[in-house]
Amino acid sequence: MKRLKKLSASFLCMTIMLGTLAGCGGSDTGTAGNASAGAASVQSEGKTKITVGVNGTTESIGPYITTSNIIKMIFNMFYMQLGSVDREGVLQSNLYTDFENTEDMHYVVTLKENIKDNDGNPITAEDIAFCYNKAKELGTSSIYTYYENAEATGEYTFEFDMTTDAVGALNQVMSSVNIVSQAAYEASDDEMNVDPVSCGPYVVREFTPGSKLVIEKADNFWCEDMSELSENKQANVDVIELQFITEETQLTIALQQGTVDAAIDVNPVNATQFESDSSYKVEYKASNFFYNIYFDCREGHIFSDENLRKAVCYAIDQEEVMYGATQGTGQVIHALATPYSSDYDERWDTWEYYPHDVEKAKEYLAAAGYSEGELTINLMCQFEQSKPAAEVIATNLQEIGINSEIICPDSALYSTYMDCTSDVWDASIMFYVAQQIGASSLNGQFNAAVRENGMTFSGISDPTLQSLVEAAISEDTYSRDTYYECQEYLRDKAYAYGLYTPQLAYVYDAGIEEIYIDSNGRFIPGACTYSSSYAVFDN
Amino acid sequence: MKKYILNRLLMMIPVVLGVSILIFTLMYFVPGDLARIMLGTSATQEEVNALRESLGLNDPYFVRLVRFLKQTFIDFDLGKSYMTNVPVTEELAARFPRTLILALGSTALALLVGVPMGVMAAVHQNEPRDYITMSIALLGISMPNFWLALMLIVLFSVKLKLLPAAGIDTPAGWILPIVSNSLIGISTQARQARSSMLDVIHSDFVTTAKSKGLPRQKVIWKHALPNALIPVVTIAGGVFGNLLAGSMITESVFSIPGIGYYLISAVNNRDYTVVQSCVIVLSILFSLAILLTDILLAVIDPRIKEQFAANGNIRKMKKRVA
Repeated sequence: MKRLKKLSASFLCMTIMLGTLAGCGGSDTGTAGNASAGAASVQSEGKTKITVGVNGTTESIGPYITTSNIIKMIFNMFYMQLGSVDREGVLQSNLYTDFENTEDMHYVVTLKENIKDNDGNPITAEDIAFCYNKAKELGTSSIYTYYENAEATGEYTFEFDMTTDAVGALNQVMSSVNIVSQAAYEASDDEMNVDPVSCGPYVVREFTPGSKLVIEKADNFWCEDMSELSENKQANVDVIELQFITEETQLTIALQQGTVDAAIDVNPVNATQFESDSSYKVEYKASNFFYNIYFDCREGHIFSDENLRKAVCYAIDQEEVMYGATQGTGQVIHALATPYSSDYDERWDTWEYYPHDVEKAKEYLAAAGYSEGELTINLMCQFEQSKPAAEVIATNLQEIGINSEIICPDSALYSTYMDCTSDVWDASIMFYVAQQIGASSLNGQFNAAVRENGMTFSGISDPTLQSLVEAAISEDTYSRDTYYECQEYLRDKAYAYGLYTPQLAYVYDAGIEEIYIDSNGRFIPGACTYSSSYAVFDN
Repeated sequence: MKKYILNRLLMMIPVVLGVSILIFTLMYFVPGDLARIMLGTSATQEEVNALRESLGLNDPYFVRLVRFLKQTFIDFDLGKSYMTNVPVTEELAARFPRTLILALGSTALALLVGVPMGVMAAVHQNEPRDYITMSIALLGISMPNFWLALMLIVLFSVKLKLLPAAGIDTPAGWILPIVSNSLIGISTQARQARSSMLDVIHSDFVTTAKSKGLPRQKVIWKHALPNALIPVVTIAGGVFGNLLAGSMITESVFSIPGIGYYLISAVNNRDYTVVQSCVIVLSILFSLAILLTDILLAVIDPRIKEQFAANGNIRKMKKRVA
């Protein structure tokens, strides 16, 4: 008994001490884990399969729920939309044969005639109108406010009116509503939250909310010639398993262990450890979001003074900010835009975009009537991730004698505070997601006409800017020149200052020849190019 | 005893009602706009206002409170998540078994490891075994469990490749989450068991038992331990109740879709229905866990059972007198 006690005590001590000290060792990329990377997938019937680690999660896969960027990526894999926007910003057809603008903002869409959902229900214009109206009724995305009155006018013809002529809005409307048959939707007792029936190339085989989603190539997919579909609706792999791994370290470990074959949005620093491993490929791609600093420009507020805004812009060291926020993996930007967008203008790269100049910053600060140490500002950041950027900016501002208090509310509070009328912040670091047509992002940032108080969310009320924004975002007047002029004016007035755009790291099995990222920056496993030897299994 | 249980169950009604009103009020006043979160930062204020109106978020406090209480306690409907449109009951039903396994496993491990550790430390008071055990317990209490979880993953998954790093597809997937989740419980139980045992082994009846020549092991395990178990069981009940709602870090690290993680996401998204429903369900479960603990105490200690019976008799006597 005594010996047993001693043994038990020793075992307990050993277990806890080993667990405690385990992390003290050096990093190990785990060659054995890598060796099993491709083969880790559980297979059946010789089907190819890719397991993807996703740094996000969803509790529902219903077609009209509130969607984050990650959920949109997941939905794009198995839901079908009328069309998809390609990487050049052009709308490609999935379900329609033709659409035309008959009058003003009225559109008539003609559908393909052979569309069926994966249960065999035919998809007609009635179904499309149902989907558009259902999405609008639930109102879970602002895109659903861009149209109204979707109505079937024939078996394969339906019409709708746009409520805005903003550039890119039509593309968003055509590519954002998930199409299902009315019969299947109404037959579902949970609004397709767990077991949706789409008309896409993949069917949902298994869904565990918050854990994983498995989709498999549909046996009876209505479209026999896949070239008739857009690039992002291809089905080059038989089975796709998405594992929701919200913890960043776990995502890296899952790659090391071969539990997943690919992972998106891997921390770029963690991704570097896979670069020397021949089992993996690592790619860094420009993201479609960019971080800017906005000033509370309301009349009477400190930042209504252009000189003070310019003082801050000159004080900020963009390189340092980018390095602090992305460990050097991001890219400094020279306008309120990202090179990801197809209409990004290379001329911006050569602009003199408030280069870091402490002396000049001090001059502007003096011109604004402030002496060093006199001013303290509230600097708000959108996420914890942008806090390092805020800290660098605070240090930069300290150099010219501006003190900063950093506020970093949770996402729910941020969305309440983001409007400068909340009086919480003087300057705010915020990211914006650029569409393929970058000019469309000006709408949310600087179009005062869409707000009751006639000011932008950062308190700008400037008729010149408003006319430039309207010219840049209206479908009729949008051009490379109008977009450029608007950016130029924004730069000259320093209403906001572009900081950096992060890069996204993709780590994937070397058996994948090329990964496919769609126009919205979303990874689409079905559209990737797989080598002939990739994960094919005999059993 | 039956009456006691019935009384306790009836007492749960005002508790749950109070919790419901409290959580509704907290969520009502907490800043953060659900409609804005749903529509994203690019939505205009008009769009946000329209969505708020359609969700009924613009209604006054009392209108919303009455609607919520009626729906929950009269219609017995916990509602649907604003974000996902999934009925909360379905989601809780799917997630609860996972959280329950985690909580039960962690509590069981805490008792199985913590109590023997505490007993050993008490029996060998002021000896090296006592110091080592209590040092380990102190380390366990001081160590954040998310950090331990990551260290266990590094050791058992990455280096030794013995256990999965995440996921609960296989029974082995539960080992690391349960071990890391039980760390604080083990340490607390060890310290509590030691303290209780020290009280008991210095009491007269233990001295008497020893002097009568009973074997040491019998004195410790049969006579002393049952008397020392009362605070241990009381703590175990509380720990179990806490783990039902408080395992979100472990769930997050190990990608376990349980209630804790669901609740935290809902709080961040201001998904009022989910938060309110989760808190109500958890308050009921916590009350039940405490009730079960009390019943268990009565089973372990006849004196407590006598107290329950005596309370019933006193009430009967009062009634007779009245």
